[in-house]
Amino acid sequence: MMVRIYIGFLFICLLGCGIIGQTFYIQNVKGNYYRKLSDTLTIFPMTIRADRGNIYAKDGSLLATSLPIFDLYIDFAADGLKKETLRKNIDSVALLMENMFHDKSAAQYKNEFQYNREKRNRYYSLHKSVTFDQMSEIRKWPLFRLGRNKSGLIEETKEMRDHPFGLLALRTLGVDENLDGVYSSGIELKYNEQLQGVCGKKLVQKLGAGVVRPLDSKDEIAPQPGRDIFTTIDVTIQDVAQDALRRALVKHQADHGCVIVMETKTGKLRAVANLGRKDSSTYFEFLNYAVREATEPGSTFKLATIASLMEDGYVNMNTSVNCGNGVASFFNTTIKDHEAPETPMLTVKRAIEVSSNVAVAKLAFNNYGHAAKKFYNHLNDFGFTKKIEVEIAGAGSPVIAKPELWSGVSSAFIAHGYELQITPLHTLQFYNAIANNGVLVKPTFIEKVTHYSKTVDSTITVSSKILSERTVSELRNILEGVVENGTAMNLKTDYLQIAGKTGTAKIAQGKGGYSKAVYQASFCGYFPAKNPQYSMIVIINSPSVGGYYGNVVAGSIFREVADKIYASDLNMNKTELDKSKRFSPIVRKSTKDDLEKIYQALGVPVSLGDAQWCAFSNGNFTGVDVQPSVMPDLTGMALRDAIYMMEQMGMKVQFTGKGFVSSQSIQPGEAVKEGQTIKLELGA
Amino acid sequence: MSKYKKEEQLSANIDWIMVLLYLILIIFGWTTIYSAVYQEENQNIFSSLSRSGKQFQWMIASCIMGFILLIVDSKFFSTFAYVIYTVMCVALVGVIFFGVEIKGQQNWIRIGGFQMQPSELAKVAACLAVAKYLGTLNVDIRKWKDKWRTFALAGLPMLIIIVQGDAGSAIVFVALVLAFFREGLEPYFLIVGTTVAVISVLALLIPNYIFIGILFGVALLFVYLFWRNKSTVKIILGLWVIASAYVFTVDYTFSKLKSHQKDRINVLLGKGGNDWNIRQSIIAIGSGGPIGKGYLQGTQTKLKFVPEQSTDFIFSSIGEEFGFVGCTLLIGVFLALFYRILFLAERQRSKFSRVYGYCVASILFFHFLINIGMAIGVAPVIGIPLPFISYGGSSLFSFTILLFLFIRMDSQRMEAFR
Repeated sequence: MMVRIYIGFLFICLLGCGIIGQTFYIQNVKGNYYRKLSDTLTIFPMTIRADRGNIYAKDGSLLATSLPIFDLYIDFAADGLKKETLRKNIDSVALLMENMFHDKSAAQYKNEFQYNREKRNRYYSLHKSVTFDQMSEIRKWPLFRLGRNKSGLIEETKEMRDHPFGLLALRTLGVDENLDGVYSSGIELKYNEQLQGVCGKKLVQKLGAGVVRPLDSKDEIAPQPGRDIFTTIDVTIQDVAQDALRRALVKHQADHGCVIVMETKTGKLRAVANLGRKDSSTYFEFLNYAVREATEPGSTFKLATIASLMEDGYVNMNTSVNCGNGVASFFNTTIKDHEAPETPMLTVKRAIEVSSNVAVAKLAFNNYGHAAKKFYNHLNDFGFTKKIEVEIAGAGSPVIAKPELWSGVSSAFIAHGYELQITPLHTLQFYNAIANNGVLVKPTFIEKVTHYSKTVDSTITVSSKILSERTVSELRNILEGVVENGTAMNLKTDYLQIAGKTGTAKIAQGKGGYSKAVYQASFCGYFPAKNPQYSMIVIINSPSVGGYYGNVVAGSIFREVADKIYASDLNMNKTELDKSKRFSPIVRKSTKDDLEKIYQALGVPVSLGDAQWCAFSNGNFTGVDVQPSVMPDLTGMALRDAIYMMEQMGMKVQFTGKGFVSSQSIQPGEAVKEGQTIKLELGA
Repeated sequence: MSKYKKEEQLSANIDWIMVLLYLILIIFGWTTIYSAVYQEENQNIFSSLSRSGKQFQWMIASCIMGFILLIVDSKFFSTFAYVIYTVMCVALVGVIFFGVEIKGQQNWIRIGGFQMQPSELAKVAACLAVAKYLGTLNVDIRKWKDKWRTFALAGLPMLIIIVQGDAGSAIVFVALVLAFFREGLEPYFLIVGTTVAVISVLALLIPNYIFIGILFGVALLFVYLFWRNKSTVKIILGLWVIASAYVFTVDYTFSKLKSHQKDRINVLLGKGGNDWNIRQSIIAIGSGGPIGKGYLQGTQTKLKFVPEQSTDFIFSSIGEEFGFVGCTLLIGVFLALFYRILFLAERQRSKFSRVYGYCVASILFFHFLINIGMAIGVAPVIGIPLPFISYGGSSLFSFTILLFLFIRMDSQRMEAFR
């Protein structure tokens, strides 16, 4: 038996040693290998998200920037979430939720909590898109302040675009509708690649549960923040335009509308306001009508027809057209004016001023009826046939048939703005060319693109001459006429002359033809008329209350926006000073030398006489007689002068108050001697 | 003997070395569990939400249980050994029908908030029953009748546990062979057993016909050696036929195994398979190096690379954080415990407590060997815990009972023949 005991002991001993041996092999012989392997296993590349670039207005105001927002979930089966803790806090949390979000009642919240706790839901959606401020508050709440493990609260951080100016130009900027970082429109979409930047990568080592240590490694790829985009939007003008548009839409209960303001010389869009109806008093930026919506332009298009005719030499502004009684037939169709003309014969200028459909249709029909191609080529030059490649996504394409497909009356219809669809931006682009002395400038939203504050890309003005000087001057004459004594007379004022054209188009209702009740009111023009700085188009779709004519509905918005831009723009208000009306500065008494210098600098001619001291009274300067040892009249002098004068006479000065000398302790004419003290009171 | 004197002897006769080794192991196990499940958010080692906190509760319960066992007269257990055994077997069968399934094993019963694995306690019952039987006057394991009865006692709970689906726990009962050997089990049983094991492994490694050919070659060698003795030649050839037939059954049996069991065997044999657990465990242990990464500094285990790191693979956590020095110390403590048990067993006057002591040693040693063996990649992955170290209430509780019964028997050894 002893042998067996020893065998048993030996057996255990051998196997025990075997285990120690294998452990030794793993840890000491291959230890380094496994340690390296272990390190590589705990090292992960981590993506570092790049900051999305900001979008700025022309003056550097922030239009769009990124903020963190949070989606909140509760893990009702969290290890640390105790039944007792939940029971104690459930009421207060439910109440706080109601107070903060007002979307559900406290009772509803409580019910949901209990139900999901029962079901051990590990991912109960508490609330989405919670702002940073709200989040800071929530973190202090009972239960949630216990932390992730004990409350089960899960925070998921997302990025939200914040627009400090609210709705301002929102559609132009672009919107991330589902808050998922995917932009469906605007500059955000078009410039997405530049804005989003490039994600970086760095190596991190996971140390323990939830603990991550960044490694110092040369392989780190720093994230490239997105580029910043400076738009041409002027927040002041945009605000004015948007506000005026909103009020007009509400007033006329229109379906939607837009206002575009463009800088004449450069084509930079200073404001693009789009509002669509949500309900009778609320309008919202739904779609970028300005850039996107191609409709039949109506009367504003007549100018293009006239321009085309003038360029071809068929008419000038004084050419007469027979408009008859305002009705004209072309084959089997009739075109009517909205009212009969004052006389059957109208000059081209007058025809446009009163917006005669017949005149324009006849001119086009007569000249282009058999030369459609000629007309089309001009429209092509004017930019009406091509999509305008602006820097925001979703620009609309114009719809115009190729001349080969035109019917006999197409030229007559196109002439006054039907049978083709163009976007408001097309119309504005053309009018701007008239304002810009016949040079067509491509509209642009983007001033420059910067990266780390360095400009990496700036917009170059793309332009082409499309109209001759003569045509331009005649067209401008006509457009001024429209406001002076034409359809837009209601827009005439003394202080700011504007030029433009009204449009009141019937809207085609799909295939059903033209409904009489639905109109599109528009006004397109530029200001100041003589030295155009800005072009603008206003379009109001389906106004239903308070008229539908372009001059009233759209024109008044144009006027309002133009006035406000004019009033706040110093460059447009450089009026020459009338020298005769100059005021003299308020000087009552001073030395001749000083006064001479001052008036010379101001360019005011005055005669000051020969005396060393001058006083001003009744619009003229007279010399003041100063004699030694006799106190002069100091009233009206500035303190500097008074002290100078008194100390010259050897006197000491004490004074109170500020302003000019109002009284003196030693009366004028009294004898004084050196070293005497005089007290002066200063006042206005 | 007066009652008073008996009580005085109680503490005097307790083997405090064993108790000390026990306490060292459970406290070390507890701190290791804390490290293995360490969470930044919940750093309280006593927190009942964490495994370390739960283990602490079980440690208290186990110590109380151990203390109770030291008071109870050990004759109670020898007297009622069969009763306890019967009750446990019934309980094991009951679990098959009324048990709760946890981690794919239908071998848990839930009483209130507690879950127990009766299969753990069954080991204690089997040890008691085997000891009782072999301790009976005139029973000798060398006799065929007694041999089979002993095997049956050990085999019954094993069989029920296999039916439960926990092959790992069942295999543990094989360890009792060590105790049987001490009591006189003939060596050829061990030789045959080892041979069968070797043939099984080789049958899986070598293509059948080649292996049979090799076996034939070996048989021919023996035939040449024993050429003179005709009956021996017959036996050798007969054995070859049996072995060849067995080779085919091995393949068949293997094909009937569950996929995770096949995986484990394949991995061990170096034939590929899903060896994620073992690789991660070895990486963790290996990366510990000679002195380890330091307590709570292990990355492989903290980051949950190693599965079941607080239960079956707790040795990986120890290896990573305490290194070779720590591993050796722990293994040393275990070996010291085994020697102490065997030493005490040999000084018993009653055969019952001696056999029981050997049973305890073999069960604990088997767990120790397989558990650490699988963590370092030299034993198949059988989901059995490291005694006193691994997280798990039932196992800690059962091992405590197993050990303290023996300590109690030892303290009463002088009463055996009175």
